[in-house]
Amino acid sequence: MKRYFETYDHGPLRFFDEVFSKEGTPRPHYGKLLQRFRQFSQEDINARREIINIDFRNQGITFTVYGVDEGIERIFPFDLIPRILPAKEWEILEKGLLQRITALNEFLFDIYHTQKILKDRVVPAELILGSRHFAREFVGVNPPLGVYIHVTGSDIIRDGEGNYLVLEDNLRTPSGVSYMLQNRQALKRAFPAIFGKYKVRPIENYPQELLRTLQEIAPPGRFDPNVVLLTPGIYNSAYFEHSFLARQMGIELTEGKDLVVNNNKVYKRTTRGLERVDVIYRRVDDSFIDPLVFRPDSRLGVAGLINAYRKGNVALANAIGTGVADDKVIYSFVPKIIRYYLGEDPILQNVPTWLASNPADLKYILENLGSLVVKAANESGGYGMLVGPESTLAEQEKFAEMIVANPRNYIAQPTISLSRHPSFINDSELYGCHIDLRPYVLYGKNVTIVPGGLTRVALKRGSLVVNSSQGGGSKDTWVIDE
Amino acid sequence: MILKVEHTTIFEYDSPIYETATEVRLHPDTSLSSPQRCASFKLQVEPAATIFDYTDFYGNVVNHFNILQSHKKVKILATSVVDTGNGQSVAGDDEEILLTDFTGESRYVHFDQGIREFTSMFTTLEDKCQLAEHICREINGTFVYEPGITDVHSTSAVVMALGRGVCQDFAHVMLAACRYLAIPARYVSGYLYGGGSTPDGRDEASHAWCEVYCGKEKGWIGMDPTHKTLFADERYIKIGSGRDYSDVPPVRGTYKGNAQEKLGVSVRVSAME
Repeated sequence: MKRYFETYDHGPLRFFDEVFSKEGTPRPHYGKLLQRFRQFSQEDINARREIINIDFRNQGITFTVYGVDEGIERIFPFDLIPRILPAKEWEILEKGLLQRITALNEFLFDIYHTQKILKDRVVPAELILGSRHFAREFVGVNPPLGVYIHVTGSDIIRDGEGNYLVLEDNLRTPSGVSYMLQNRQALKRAFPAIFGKYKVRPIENYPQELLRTLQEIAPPGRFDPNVVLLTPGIYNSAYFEHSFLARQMGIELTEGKDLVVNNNKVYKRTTRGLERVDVIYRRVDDSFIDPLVFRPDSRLGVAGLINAYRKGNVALANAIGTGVADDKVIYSFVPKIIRYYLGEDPILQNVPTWLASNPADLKYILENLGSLVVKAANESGGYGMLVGPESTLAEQEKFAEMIVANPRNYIAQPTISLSRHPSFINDSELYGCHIDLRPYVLYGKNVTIVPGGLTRVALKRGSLVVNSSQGGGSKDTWVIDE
Repeated sequence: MILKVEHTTIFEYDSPIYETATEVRLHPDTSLSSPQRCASFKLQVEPAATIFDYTDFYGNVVNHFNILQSHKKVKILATSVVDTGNGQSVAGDDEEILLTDFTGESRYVHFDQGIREFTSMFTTLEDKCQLAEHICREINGTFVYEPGITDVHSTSAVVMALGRGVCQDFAHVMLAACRYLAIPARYVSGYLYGGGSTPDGRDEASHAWCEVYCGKEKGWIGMDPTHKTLFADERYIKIGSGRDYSDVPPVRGTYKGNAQEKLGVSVRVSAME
């Protein structure tokens, strides 16, 4: 019988393998896991996979794939082999994220108040005022506790040497935390013995921590505040997560049509009449959240909500206008932002980024289109992107024209490096699939970071795309104390 | 001049609507840098509603209210008394970075081919304020005032191509031309006493023009491409300013229900001395 990991290929060496060193020896924290997996037969694995699949299906853990067929729901693939982070590595990530999120929050407070960083010309004013996420409606408004980014999920990758790098900051409505919670539950059920061999830090209290964070930002004097989750509705790809989190926190799941603003206060319609709402965990984007102020054609929002918020009669998480700080151009300024507000060197590094708006960078980008990844600043989900090594000369020429015509809108990065982790690419074969990590950071009175986060994995041979809509899956992620 | 403004807006619906939410930008400019003084402002709403206010990013006072119960008519009456002072030059801002908003494109102000051709005749002039005056005179001389062929959502590019429009349209074209030539310029919403807002003197009172930034010393100079006098003077009452019309619509709102809306506006500006 062939044993698992016997034929596992940990190369090519330009990528960092999470489990094996360059020489092919297992990293110590994976020792017990490998030992156990080597004892499993394929039947053992199949039986466990079956338990998990039934479990996921019964709970309706799905996501919606857009553009395939109207409303196709799929089970988010779960890979059986957990990713392990030793405590001493996690501590660096934790400190780095704390530093980064603190600085980004100060940055948001500043640009929505005195704009000192713009006046000091550390960040060019036209980048902020020219960003479509800059909310003029929100300038001068004081969010509760001075916090803008209550829930964030930065995407973290590892370069060829295993250094942790921040790929992007998601400061608007990051999703995926429900998969993190479900993955842990599934893994504990399928592999109780292995799980028991490690001291894995718990993550199950995330919904309670989130609820506490939301309660902390309630308007002053509102004891036992009424917290609701605002979802765009069942057609949203993350609707499962919205309903899951609402249930876990024991709060109401609402849509825009369930809420109404009267005399600058927000109310929920109930069978007993209108009931005051104090805090809204909103999973609706800025532009759709209030038709009076933003897109007038939005049916997902609540008319008058922004004015109630400005007045302090209701709190929103996250605040309005946070997208201005996770723009791909602003991203390249985050190290400067950290030094400017905190006077510290960044603990976590950025991926090197060239800005087309900077003449010297522009020259470099145009000369190296074949090896770089070019991204549009304000787009996400792979739209407006050129992957140099996979592009034709015609595509490169077309991009060169677009970049020259609108340099503010483009950045370039080296072709991405994602670490690899043994994962099942089919029922029986283990392959070094590329992974990233999205830790979840909560910011209320204090900053709380759930140990680990969601590890996303590209379950296709050689693929660097971890998005769920393009064949990605996820893994349980363990932070362990040795 | 001391002027009194009575501005009535009536929305009528052919079947009941409910949950109206409305924002009103009708409060005369109160900024300290303006020569204009607002002596009083009163806003009345029917059906009765509690009225709230805030000051927006551009310093404009915004009033807002909501009406929950069903209704078929909303009446908004704004009455203000304003001392316009002796002109409309407004002191400059201390922070040059705030000018960024008034140097680029915006929702209704576009740098299209038409504007690039139009501005090519001006590029030799040095003094920005003079240049803006030339632009203002050129628009006033060559564009035809014609109501009804554009609407509130027409962009500068559309107006440029038509060569005609109303005061709002001319203001947008002037903003596009100025900004394309790197002269900071902003849209002003307000009223005009006496001469009327149309060039032939019909009194429509509600008016729109531009303010051009002429350096820290001179500040913002009001320029009006709709009228031959070209410069704003004591007959001009400013409500507020922004990048274009979309930043200072007099009334905007949402409601629930299925109904046809009919809008009626009447504005009266009278002298008090």
